[in-house]
Order: sequence, then C-alpha cells, then structure tokens
Amino acid sequence: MGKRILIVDDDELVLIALQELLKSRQFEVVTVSRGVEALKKLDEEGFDLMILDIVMPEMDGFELCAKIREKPNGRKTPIIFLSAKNREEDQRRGLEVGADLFLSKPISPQKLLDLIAEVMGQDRG
Amino acid sequence: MKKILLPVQDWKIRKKLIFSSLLLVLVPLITVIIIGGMRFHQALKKTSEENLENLVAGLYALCKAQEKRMPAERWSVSDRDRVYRILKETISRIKVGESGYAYTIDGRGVLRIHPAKEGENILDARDSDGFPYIRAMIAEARRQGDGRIGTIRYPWMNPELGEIRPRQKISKFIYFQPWDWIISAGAYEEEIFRSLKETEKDLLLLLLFSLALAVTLTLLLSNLLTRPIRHLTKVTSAMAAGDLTQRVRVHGRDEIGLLGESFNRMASKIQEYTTDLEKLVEARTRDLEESREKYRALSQFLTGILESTSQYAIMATDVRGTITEFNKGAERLFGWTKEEVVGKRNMEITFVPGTDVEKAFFQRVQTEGLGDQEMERLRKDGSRFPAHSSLTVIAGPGGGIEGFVEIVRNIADRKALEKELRETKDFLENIMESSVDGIVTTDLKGKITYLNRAMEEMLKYPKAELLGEHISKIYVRGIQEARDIMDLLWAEGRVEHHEMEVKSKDGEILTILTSASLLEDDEGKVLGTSGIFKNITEQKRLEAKLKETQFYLVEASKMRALGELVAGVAHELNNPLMASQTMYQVIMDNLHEDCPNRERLAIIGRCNERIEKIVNHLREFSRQTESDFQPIDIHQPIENALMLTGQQLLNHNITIHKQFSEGLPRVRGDSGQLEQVFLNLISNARDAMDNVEGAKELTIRTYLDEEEDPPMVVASVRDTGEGIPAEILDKVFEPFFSTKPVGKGTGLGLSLCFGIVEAHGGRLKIQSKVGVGTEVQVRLPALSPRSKESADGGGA
Repeated sequence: MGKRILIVDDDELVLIALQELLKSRQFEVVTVSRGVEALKKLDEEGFDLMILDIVMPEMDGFELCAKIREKPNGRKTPIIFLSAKNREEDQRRGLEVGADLFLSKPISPQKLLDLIAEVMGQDRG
Repeated sequence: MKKILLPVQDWKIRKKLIFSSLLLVLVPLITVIIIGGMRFHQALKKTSEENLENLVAGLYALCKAQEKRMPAERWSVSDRDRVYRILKETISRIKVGESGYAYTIDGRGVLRIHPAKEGENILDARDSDGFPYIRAMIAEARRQGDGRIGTIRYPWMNPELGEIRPRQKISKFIYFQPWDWIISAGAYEEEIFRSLKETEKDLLLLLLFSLALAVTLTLLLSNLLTRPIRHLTKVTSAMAAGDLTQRVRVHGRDEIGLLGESFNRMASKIQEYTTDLEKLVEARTRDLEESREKYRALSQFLTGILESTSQYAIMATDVRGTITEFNKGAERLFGWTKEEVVGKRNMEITFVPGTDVEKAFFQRVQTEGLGDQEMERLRKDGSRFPAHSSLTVIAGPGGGIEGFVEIVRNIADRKALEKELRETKDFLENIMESSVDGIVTTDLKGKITYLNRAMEEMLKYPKAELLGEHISKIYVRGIQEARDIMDLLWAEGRVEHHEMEVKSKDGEILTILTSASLLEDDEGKVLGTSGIFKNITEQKRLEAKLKETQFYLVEASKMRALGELVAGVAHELNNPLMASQTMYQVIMDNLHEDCPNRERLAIIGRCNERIEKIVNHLREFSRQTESDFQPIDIHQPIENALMLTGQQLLNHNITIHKQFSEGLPRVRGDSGQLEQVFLNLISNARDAMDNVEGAKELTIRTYLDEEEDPPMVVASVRDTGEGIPAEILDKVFEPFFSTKPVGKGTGLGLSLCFGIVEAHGGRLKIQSKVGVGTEVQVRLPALSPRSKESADGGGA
C-alpha cells in the first residue's frame, strides 16, 4: 500500500534525512529541491502527501502550494509545510494558500510521523 | 515785741551786759526802794498821823479827865488856872516834829493854850492860799462832834522868818464839846517826813552806790568777757582782711578759751589751704596765661584762615544762634555781607523755612558735639542750593554750649555728578541684573562681592547670604575648584568655557559653564575676579539623554544586526539539525538492541539536543519566535516569574519585597516574553546575591514615571548582591558577555532581555554599585486609556 510522499526542500540534507525516515516507515518518497520540479512531478503522478519547505530559491513554498492547489491532482492532496519560519503570519499564510498543517523545524521525527499519519488519515476519512 | 528786740541784738556785749545787769540790779532795787519808800512813806505818814491822833486823843482824854474830876461849870478861877496849867505843861512839852506843837482853840477862835499866841483870836487866820483854815477846822470839829478826830491840811508860810515858800502843814484836831474846845496838834509835813527824807536820801545814796557798783562790776565783767571776744573779733577781722598769721591769745579753758583754740586751729588750717590755694592759683594763672596766649595765636591763625578761605563758608554763632562770625566764603555763598549779619541776624536766615532737618541736625550736634548733614540752604535773594554742612559745638568751660561753628559747601556740582553716576550705575546694574546668565564678582581672597539676580535664582540663595561668603561655598568640588580656576586665571588672565558643578541652597547640583576674568584697576593691579555662570544643567541633561539614546540606538541596531545574523544562523542550522535528528532516529530504529553502536549513536543524539537548545536560544534572541503583543498589566509577568522562582529564592534565603503601585496603566507587550525577562532578571539577582554575607533582599517595585514623555511604566528589580563594577556596566547588555562561570548560562540573558524590552518599545536601564547591589529597570511605555481601547478593539 505504499503511500507516496513528495518532499520539497532546497536543503539536500533535509531531503535525505526525511527520505530515510519515511522510507523506514514504508513510505514511497520522492524528493525535489525546487518548486518547478515539484510541479512537474505532480503533472506526472499524484501523491498522498506533500511536505513543503517555504524558503526556497525561485519559488517559495507558499507560491508552490498555491500552484499545487490549482492542479487537479493537487487539489485534495494533504500538504504539510515544514519550515524554519514559524511566525504567526507565516502560519496564517500557509493555511491561506491551502496547506493542511504548518510545522516548524526542527521537529522531532516521531512527532512528524504522528502528524503525517493524522493528516493522511484525515484525508482518507 | 520783735521790733524792740532786734535793735537790741545789735548792741555790743558790754552794752548788753551793762544793760542787763543794770536791769537786774536796778529793777528790783528800784522796785524795792519805790515800794519800800512808798510803804515807808505811807507808814510814816500813817504813824505820824496816828501819832497826831493819839496826841490829840490823849489831850482830849486829859481834858476829859479834868472835866470829869470837875466839870468846867464848877470851876473857880483857880481851878481854871490849875487845869490850864496842867494842860499847858503837858501841851507845851509836846513837840511834833521839829517845829510842830499842839494847842487848843475854842469855838470862838481864841487860842486857849498855845505856845506863843495864847489868848489871840485867830478865827480869821488864813493859810498861804488864803483859805480860812481855822474857821474850817472849828466848823468841821463841831460838825463832827465830841471826841471825833478830824484832819486838816493847809499850806503855811512864815515870811517873817525869811521863808519864801509855803510848807504843807497837817493838823489833827479833836472836839471837846464840854469846853467847846478844839484840841489840835499839827506840824509841817515835811518835818514829819524828814526822817523819811533822810532815809530817802540814804536810800538814794544806796541806790546810786549800787548803781555805780553794778555798772562798775558789769563793766569789769563785760570787759572780762568782751575783751577776749573783741580780741577774737579783731583777729578774725584781720584775718578776713587777709592777715592769716593772726592768732588768738588764749587764756583760760572757758568757752571763749576753747573758741579761741578752735579758731587758732582753723586759722592755721585756713592759712595752709590758702597757701596751697595760692600756689594752685599761681599755677593755674600761669596755665591760663599760656592758654590765653595760645588762644590768641590760634585765634589769629583761624581768623587768617577764615578770611583767606573764600571757597568755604565758615560761620560762628553764639548759643542762641546769633551770627558772630561770617567769612568771605559765607558772604559769597549766601549773599549777605558780614556787616549785615554779625551780631544782628540769626543763623536761621540761611536755612530753608518749614523743614525739620536743621532742627534734628542741631539737636544731634548738641548731643554729640559735632555732625554732618546735607540739606538745602537759602540765599539772601531767596534762591536755594544743595549744601553740605559740618557743624561743631563750641563748649564753654563748664561744659555748656557757648556757640556753634559751621562750615558750609555748595554741593550742587557734586549732586549733579552723583546723579549722573547713579544713573550710570543703575543702567549698568540693570544690565547686570537683567542678564539671563549669572554674574559674580569676587575680591582677591575669593569672597563674593557681587552677584546678580540670575545667580540668586539659579542658586536659590538670597543675595545677602552669599555676599561676603567664599565662592567655594557654591562649588561642589569646593576649594579645589576655586583654586583650579584661580590658577587658570593667573596663568592666562581669563578662563573660557570651564565646566563645573555647583550646588544650590536646597542641595540641587547644577552644571555650570563659566567664563571668568581678572578685574583690574587703571594701573593694572588686580582687584578681584568676575565670572559669568551659564546654567547648562538642562543642556547637559539633554546631552546625556541624547547620549543614552544614541547608546541605546547603537546597541539596538547592533542588536538588530546581530539578531539578523543570529536569525540567519539559526535559520541555517534548522535544516542540518533536523536532518541530523531525523537520521539519528532512522539509524537508532535500525540498530539491534545489543548493538554497541547504539551507545555511540546516543551521544550523537545528545549533541543534537544541545544544538537544538542553542538554536532555540538563538532564535529567541533574534525573535524568531512569535511575539504576541497585548495590552497587559505589568504585574502579571512579574507574578508569573515570581511564582516560578519563589521557592528557589526562599531556598537561597532571599527575602522578596514587592512594592507594586496600584492603578498602573497597562503596557503593550508579550506576557511570555516579559515573563522571560523577569525570570532572567530574578535569576541574575539570585546569582549576584549568592556569595553575599549580609541581607539578601530582592525588591521588585513598580511605578509610573511621568517625567518622561510618554509616561513609562517602570518595573524595577533590585538586589543587594555583589554589584557590577562601573567599568563593565556598559557591557552587560552585550551578547555572550557573562560574568558567570563557563557552562552556567549562555551569557545571552541580559542581551535577550534588552532585545525583548526594546522590541516592546521600552528601555532597559541598569544601575549598580559594587558591594551594595544592582537595580535593573524595565521601562515600558504606558498605554493611555484610549490606546488601550484601540488595542482591544483593533485586535486580531
């Protein structure tokens, strides 16, 4: 049943770490480091969850999220923001552009996993 | 009575004595004699009369006896002759006095028995007055009756015997009726009284003798008395006349003798005194002569001056004010000539009438002997001028006032000059007084000689309290300040822009900018100093505030820059951190329980934790954590912080004092962040007091500081800890600056607090004194009720 998760972050280390974590939990993980690439991937296939960083070159997470929500197979996909930014307005904005959850780095791996499960469960329900 | 006595008082003693002794002797004597004489006279007279009466009575008896034997009717002639013979015998033997005799005469006037004219009828005999005395006698005898005795007195003269004047005769007669005989016996009264006369003569002699004796004795006695007195009188007169060498000859110890002795003593004394007096008088006379000479010389000298001075009016008056001297100057000044006033006019003519000035002046001079006065004087022509008068009293020998001397000057010029001077002075003073800056002058010793109003107001001392005081009284640095300024003045002659502190009367410290210079007279001699004091306290305060603000701004911008940097760093660290944590988890999940790498990996895990902590700290520092600004009561975060640390503080034996003000306005802030600030401050305080010996007290005081604009709510955290030395006090807000040992605290505390408070629009202030304690003030802008509402309403 492998759930497909897309992780978008310009930091390679983060990508790898998250990938490793999620893979160890039997998730299928696709990692991209740019918003453009993420959109391209979305055109090709759908995902069960998207984890987006915010601060990225060229296209930031908010823009990306908005764009994802425009796409037909992105409309309903749960999106989690995972960013170092944690200000009130960022959170607000995050939810405005359509994210389901806004998490700030760093976050404990276990907590992340729990929240992911929650979000994905929700969507299902 | 007095009128009689008074002249008596003037009689000489001799006269008095004589008079009195005479009186004493003569009066009784004469009285006795007179009275005795009178009595004797009377007695004699009476006796004589009685004798005569007895005589005639006896003769009557005889006749009666004869009659009885044989009444006359029965007489024969021989009987008659016999009777007559008997009778005659008896009668002729009778002698009354010298020439007096007895006789009988019958009623017809015939002499019956008579020594010479027997048988003669003398009825018509008349006495020398022509009075028919015989007839009278017979008539009277008959009238009287038988046996009754009568008296008759009549004057009788015997010219044939060569008598030239009548002598009084006295006769006593008795009537023998049987015979119609009048028996009469008579005699010259003077013969009767002859013995009396003899006695009288004797008495008179006695009287005279007594008189003489009395007078003589009196004279002698009076002499005895008066001689010494006269002698005394003579001597005293001589002495009174000037002969002091006279002395009384003293005899005897009676009163006069004693008087004489006393007198002599007195005379000696007087002589002594007189001699001394004479010597004294001589000396005095000599002195007097000398002084007279001097006076004469002086008088001449003065008159010379008097007359030669025409600039000054010199006048002299007598005690009543009449002018006695009036020099040329007075003539010139007052317009009167000497002849017009000397001896004729009173000083008053030179005074303006109707003022009391001269009255008071004269009285003052009379009391004190001399005096000056300025007043208006009057000229002859009625014009007036301002004058200066010096008046002296001329004292007489007895201390009384003989007169006055006055010197008068016209001071109109001086007055004008004075006026000008005064106006100039006022003008200058006005300038000085109206100056905004303080102006002070001192003498060479540094004592204040002048200060203007600005100075008064600046220092809040009344002028009187500072004049005469040393200038260092107002310097905070005291005498050293004064010395420093003086050194500068002496070196360069002036001081510009010297800054110093002065203290006002109520203890306020002011910062003054002073310019000073030396005051010199025309010759360049230094008289003192003059300084301008500009109050730059406010300026300084503003400067300090500016500096502080600058400091804060710099610090704030530093902080901000740093914050940004740190934010950047934290931000950068987020990802690797998360990656590390995630990988750690993955690996840990995949390691067998017994695998030794688990332990090793655990270390990496701890590293991750620490890194996270630091990153969080960094984020906090750079305010990457969210701020939630609300209107809050400052007491809330404080109470929260105390709640968390209360127990700990107690454990450290720290006493907490809360001095919260009620009704403080709210501030706009993040309660959590402010709580962190207070936690930090409290924990710093706790650490500071750890090693302190004495009382450990933490005082948190809140109040409103309305002096700032906008008003600030202040929360002050004060401890009694070690304190922070002044040198490092500036650095405490620097990040990573810590006095704590390595590992205890990151040194971010105060700098974090600074940042938080600054982000709240407030200010963190710190004050500290080593050994006393530290106070940190969190100052936040107070919210006015309006802004509070908007904050509430605005929300979201």
